[in-house]
Amino acid sequence: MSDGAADVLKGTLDLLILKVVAPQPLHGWAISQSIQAQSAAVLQVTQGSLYPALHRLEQKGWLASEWGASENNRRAKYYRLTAAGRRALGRETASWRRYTGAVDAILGT
Amino acid sequence: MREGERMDGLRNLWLRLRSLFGAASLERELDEELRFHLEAQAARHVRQGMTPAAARRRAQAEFGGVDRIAEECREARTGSALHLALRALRLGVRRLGRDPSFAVPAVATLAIGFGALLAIFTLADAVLLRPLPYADSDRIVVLRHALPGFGIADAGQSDGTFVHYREAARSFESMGAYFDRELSITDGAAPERVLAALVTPGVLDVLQLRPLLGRAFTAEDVTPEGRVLLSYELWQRRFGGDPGIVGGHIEVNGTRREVLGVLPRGAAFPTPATQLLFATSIGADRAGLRDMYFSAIARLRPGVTPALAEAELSRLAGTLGDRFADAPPELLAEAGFTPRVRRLKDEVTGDVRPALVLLLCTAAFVVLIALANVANLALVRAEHQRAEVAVERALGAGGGAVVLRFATESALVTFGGAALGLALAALAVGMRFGFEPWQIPRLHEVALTGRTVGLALACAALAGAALTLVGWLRGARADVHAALRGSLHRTTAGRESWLLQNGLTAAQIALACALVIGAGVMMQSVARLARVELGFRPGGLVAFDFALPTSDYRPYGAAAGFVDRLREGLLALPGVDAAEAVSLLPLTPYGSWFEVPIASPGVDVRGGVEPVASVRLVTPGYFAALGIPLLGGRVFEPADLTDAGAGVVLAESLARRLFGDADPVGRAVELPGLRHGTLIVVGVAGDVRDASLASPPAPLLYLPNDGRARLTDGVAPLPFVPREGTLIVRSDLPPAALLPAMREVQRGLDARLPIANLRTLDDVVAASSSRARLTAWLLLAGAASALLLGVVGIYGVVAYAVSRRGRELALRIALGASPGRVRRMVLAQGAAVALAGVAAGIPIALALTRLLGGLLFEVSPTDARTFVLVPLGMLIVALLASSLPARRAARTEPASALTAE
Repeated sequence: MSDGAADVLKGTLDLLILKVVAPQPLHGWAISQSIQAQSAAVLQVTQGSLYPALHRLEQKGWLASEWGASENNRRAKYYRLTAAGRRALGRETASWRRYTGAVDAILGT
Repeated sequence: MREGERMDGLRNLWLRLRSLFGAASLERELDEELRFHLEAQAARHVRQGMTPAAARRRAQAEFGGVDRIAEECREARTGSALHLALRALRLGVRRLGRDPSFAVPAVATLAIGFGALLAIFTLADAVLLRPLPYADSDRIVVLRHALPGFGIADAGQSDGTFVHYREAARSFESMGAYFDRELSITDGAAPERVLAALVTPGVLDVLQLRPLLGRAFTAEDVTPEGRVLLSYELWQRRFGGDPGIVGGHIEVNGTRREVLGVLPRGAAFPTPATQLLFATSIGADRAGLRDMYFSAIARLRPGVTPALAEAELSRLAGTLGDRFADAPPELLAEAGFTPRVRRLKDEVTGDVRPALVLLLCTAAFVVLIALANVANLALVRAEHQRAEVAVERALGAGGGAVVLRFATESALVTFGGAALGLALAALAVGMRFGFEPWQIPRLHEVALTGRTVGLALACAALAGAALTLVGWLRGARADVHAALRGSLHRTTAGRESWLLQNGLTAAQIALACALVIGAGVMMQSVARLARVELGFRPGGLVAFDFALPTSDYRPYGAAAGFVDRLREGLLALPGVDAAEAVSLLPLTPYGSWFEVPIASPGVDVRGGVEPVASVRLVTPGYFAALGIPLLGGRVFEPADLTDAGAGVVLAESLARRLFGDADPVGRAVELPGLRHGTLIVVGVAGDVRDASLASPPAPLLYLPNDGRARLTDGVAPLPFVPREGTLIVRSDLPPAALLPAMREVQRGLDARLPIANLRTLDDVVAASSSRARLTAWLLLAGAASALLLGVVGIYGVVAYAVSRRGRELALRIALGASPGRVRRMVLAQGAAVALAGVAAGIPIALALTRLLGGLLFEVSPTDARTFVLVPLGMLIVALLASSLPARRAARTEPASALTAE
């Protein structure tokens, strides 16, 4: 993937997902709701990018999934952070901070 | 690493494996996950006051294309080259599964073609290509002679020639001589007849054969009470693989022999069936150019070719006269005495080579025809896929993806065909192709090997590449507009594809035509073989072999007396009409036989070449029992055989050779070089086929085997004693029912003797032509499948052309063309293809039947009738195959010109 903008966006989504599932396992719909709610509806996650991202993170071994019962007792696939995912979350958060810090510095606020 | 982390690692590995192999459960889970999302979202909208139906629609709209997301999720999990390949395979399987009318016939056709090729290759590989089971076996040669001046095309060695060469020849590291012998193992509960060989110790050196147990022969083992080596098979069968047998004893023909060792498995020599080896030595007192009964083998020194060795032996042969008084240079020159050196492998496999090469060609032809058929199918399929592929390309699929698409489909079909073909070949090999071990040398060594599998893979890969090319040429190169329009207006579809299709079919017809001609010629040969006048009536006769130990049946009288008592005992059995003995049954593939020069006092034989007689000792009733007609005189009587001489019976061809048109009865004959009394011809018997059905009648000399003759001390004035031979029994009972009673009779006379080789004479006759018959049938099977595929091919192209030209044909009919005219037009296309094919097939057939040459009996390889009738038949069959689509074309509704797609 050489396209810079897409890279950043994708990287951001991965970071948000990891952060949101860090406290407790969540299913896909709850993840999208959670991102929306925590960002005060600023960030909208389209399902078209959410699910491929979840599967990609699972394939990488950062997320693990289990089937469990949802709030209204339907079978749902819950994603939780693995140890590798927790380490990745730390790394990604740090690099995001560096990145935004650098951008802020240039914007001179 | 913590426990939880390890678990996650394992879980992740499991997930990767599942996604790699496209587990169906993963698909279901993905589906369920996405559906859950939709429902949760819809439920949220319902909570906000929407109706359930509107909420579902809204959720669906927000979500976007479920299939596209599912596909992206799949891709998120995949992406490696392996994944891409597996995905392409899965897609290929799915696409082929949607069109079984292509996949099923394609795989089946290839499986039959590949199966035939792989099976025959396995056979040819084991028999012709793989080295013999001896070290450096290419250096082992057979030493023989030709004496054209004496009318002897092929002879072995005499004591003198062998010793002379062994002492002087520099071409060889080692030399050995041997001859076959049939013997009986006479100890233990079940006596049995076995094939044995007397060998000089050098034979084991030449073969570099180390016994598995015990030791090889040395010079000290060459003694009258000689020690023996057992074959692995005999050791296992008779002694249960007991290693203690080494140093023990075995009784052979009534004599105790020490067992020196056991040969390794599969190393039996000179034949795979040889069970016992005795040590013998060869002394040289005379050249004996007329008694070259030994076989000899030698190991070439490195770098020496058989031709060089032959040249050296030819030089040495010139000096035979210096050593032996009976080989003066004049005699050598008169005989045209020529040493011959051939590789042992060529000698072993020589006479099956042409048949195997022929079958291999047949199988290769069938594969090519099958491939042409599949290529035609692929062509039609590619034509249909043009629109689909063009759309894919328009949507961004690269050229690589399109080639991959055709390559995976082709590979699936050809590798599937190869796998099935391999299974078919394994089946054929398992059944030994229906051959008996003695029909094909080395048959016991035939097994599916890595080379067979390698050939299967290579065939599949090559065929796959060819099919990919066909598909890509026809299916991928179209531009979108043309392809889409083409699918609407079929009449404009590619002319080159039509040409390619017709060309492939014509090639099929050509190969099929060649094969059918070959099979036709071969079948005629077999039919002639079946009609050969045997000279005897085999019906209702049962035979078994006997062999009497020399120690107890030394004089003629003892052996003949035993045979007489055995005959009487058998005749007393209920259901037995006749029981007679002969020293060697006609049409027997191997055995001890005696060919001796024969002369008659006062007769100057025409042509100056001394005639040779093949000697048989028979009981007087033999001729009547076998239905051999008596053409003059009478059969033996007990009074004919006295201490002074005996009466003999000549076969017609020998009588004519010796006496011309004069009456031979009452004339004397002599066997120069052998000790015997006066031999007076008492009768002339009809000729019989002896060596094989295809060879001319043998010059048989019948000597009496008569236990009733009065002889002093049982010694007869004959050079042979009837200690070995075959008993023939005429009975209406089946052989198996007779066996216990016959065994009882023989045991009553001598408990050590086996009843060996029980068979009917009908079997003997059938067996003598079985290889030719089998070859012909295999060829016919190949030709039949080729013909079938060719006919299917013709039908296919014509039918396809009709379906493609449907609109044009309807137009023609609408414009006034008669149905008959349309039918003729379509037929003409089939006829043109068939004609081109047949014309190309005749030269191929000429090449093929040239291969047949040596296998044919009384049929010319360019048999005019076959070469005319088969192509005509092919044309008729092709027209018949085209007539179905032609009839359909003629019935085209003119109105369909307007409605056709």
